[in-house]
Amino acid sequence: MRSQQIVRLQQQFLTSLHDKPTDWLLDQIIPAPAFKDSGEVLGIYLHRAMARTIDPLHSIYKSLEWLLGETTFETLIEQFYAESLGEPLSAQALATEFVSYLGELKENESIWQKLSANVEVDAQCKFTAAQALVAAAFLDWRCHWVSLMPHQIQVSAETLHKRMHHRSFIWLRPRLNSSSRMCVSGFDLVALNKLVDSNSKNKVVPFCPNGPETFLIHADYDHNVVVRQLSADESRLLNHCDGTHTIASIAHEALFFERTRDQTKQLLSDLIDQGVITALEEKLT
Amino acid sequence: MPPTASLTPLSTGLARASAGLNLCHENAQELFDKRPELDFIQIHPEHVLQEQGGVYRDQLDELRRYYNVILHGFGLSIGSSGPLDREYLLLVRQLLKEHPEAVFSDHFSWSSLSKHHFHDLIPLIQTEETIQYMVERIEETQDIIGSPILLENVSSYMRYKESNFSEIEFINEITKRSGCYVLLDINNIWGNAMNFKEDPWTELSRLRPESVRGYHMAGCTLEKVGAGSLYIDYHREAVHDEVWDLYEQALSLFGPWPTLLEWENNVPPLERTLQEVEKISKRLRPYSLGAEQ
Repeated sequence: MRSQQIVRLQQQFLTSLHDKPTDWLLDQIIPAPAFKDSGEVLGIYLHRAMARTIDPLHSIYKSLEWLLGETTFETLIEQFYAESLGEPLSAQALATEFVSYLGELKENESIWQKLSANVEVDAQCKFTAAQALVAAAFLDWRCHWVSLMPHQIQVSAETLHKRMHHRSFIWLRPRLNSSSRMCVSGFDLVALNKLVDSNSKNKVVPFCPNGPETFLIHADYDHNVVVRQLSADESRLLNHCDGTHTIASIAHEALFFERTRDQTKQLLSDLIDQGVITALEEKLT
Repeated sequence: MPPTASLTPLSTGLARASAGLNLCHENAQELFDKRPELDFIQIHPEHVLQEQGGVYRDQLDELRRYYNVILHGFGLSIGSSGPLDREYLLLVRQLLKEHPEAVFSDHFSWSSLSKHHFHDLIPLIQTEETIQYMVERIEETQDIIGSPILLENVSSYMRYKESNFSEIEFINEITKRSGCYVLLDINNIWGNAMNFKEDPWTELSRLRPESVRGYHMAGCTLEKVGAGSLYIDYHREAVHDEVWDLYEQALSLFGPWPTLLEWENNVPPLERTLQEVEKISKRLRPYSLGAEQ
């Protein structure tokens, strides 16, 4: 049975993560002789706890860090840590909590003023710096998520192509790779991704001059994360690739947008080659 | 006899005189590409649980098919006053089924309370109450995974006023009462002795010889703090000469057991870590004949 002694000590440690250690806890600790007092050794444990918790965020939130700069980003994630209700073991869970934290911050909160001061948005862009930061954070989170999703590619592209040549192929139901994310943004996520990858000194957030666009973030056959902007045709088609729409209905609907059946078939074929469409459902499940 | 002590004895799938290397994100690509000769690799069940896919997970799965493995956890937090993570332990049980050569180990420490993780191994108060609590938790763990476990002695930079057992007395009592075994980290024995100005050989020789079932070798780093310097267990450099000497003494006291080289930070090219693994193999070689279980 757990003793009150163990419970109290561990709860006091926990409290110390986000608050000043109590005199009781400091009094319990005998530091190794090299430390000047128990506060110093406890400080090392607590600092390591914080560093090891938030360090993975640097490698996950690359775009956000690039926009904010290293120092401001560090301040932000330390503030997130201070206000965090839990310190998850998994970096993936932490990354999700962080982006939720950022998404939940109200635009009028003072932290946005500090963060936005570092971010330059083009004068023609009608979106705010705060929106750019959230867009960057969501992009980072999606890229991370996609990179860790198991590949559920059951059949090769070659097999899918063969099935597309069957006389009753129109009743197949295309399905998007489950490790894909589609999103709409007023910022140009492809350009942003490139700027971050090249660690560009130009920190003006690229935006979509013709209004919000649809983007696809997915992992290719080699697990490389790909960020791409979708054309209107691709976007419309992929929005139906959830395994419930037949090729017949997709091709029929495309006719209303002046796309022939052959053009739709070719588009499906191209998306199979790119590893975006990875299944053609057949059974009525 | 503790109820779980009668579980299937520890696997003999690995030769006692075997040397292995830890798999981590930093060395996975090179290990995956080169596939050097190793008796085993160490994998963390946490990585299997947390990374459902991706490059590292693919490499981990391929490498665990290629090599013998041992399982080493860092998130069980067996000394925590919070409940044990049953989902995690069921995964360990499954991995042990998939790897009959493997054993599962974690640490004599606690590292989390409920959903709060310290990402560090915090020493326990060494009292009779904690011993009783640890025995209960170890038996619960062993019941779930269906196998005895190994627990590793941790590096520590502090002790507690209320402790009334030494670290080794504490470990001996727990292994005696619970039927678990010791994964002996030689570097931690040495580092703790240095940090608390004790004699590492004396500490080592106090361990129950029959409790030791594996060794860890790693490098610690000397750092300056407020009133002097102490060794911190970063696993970011080569094993110290004094630690090799202590390992040789441990081999003569406890016999050969699977020994792992851990290098997880500032990881050098694989060639360099393999040189350290070879140092282990060299010391195990005299025991390799007739030392099988």
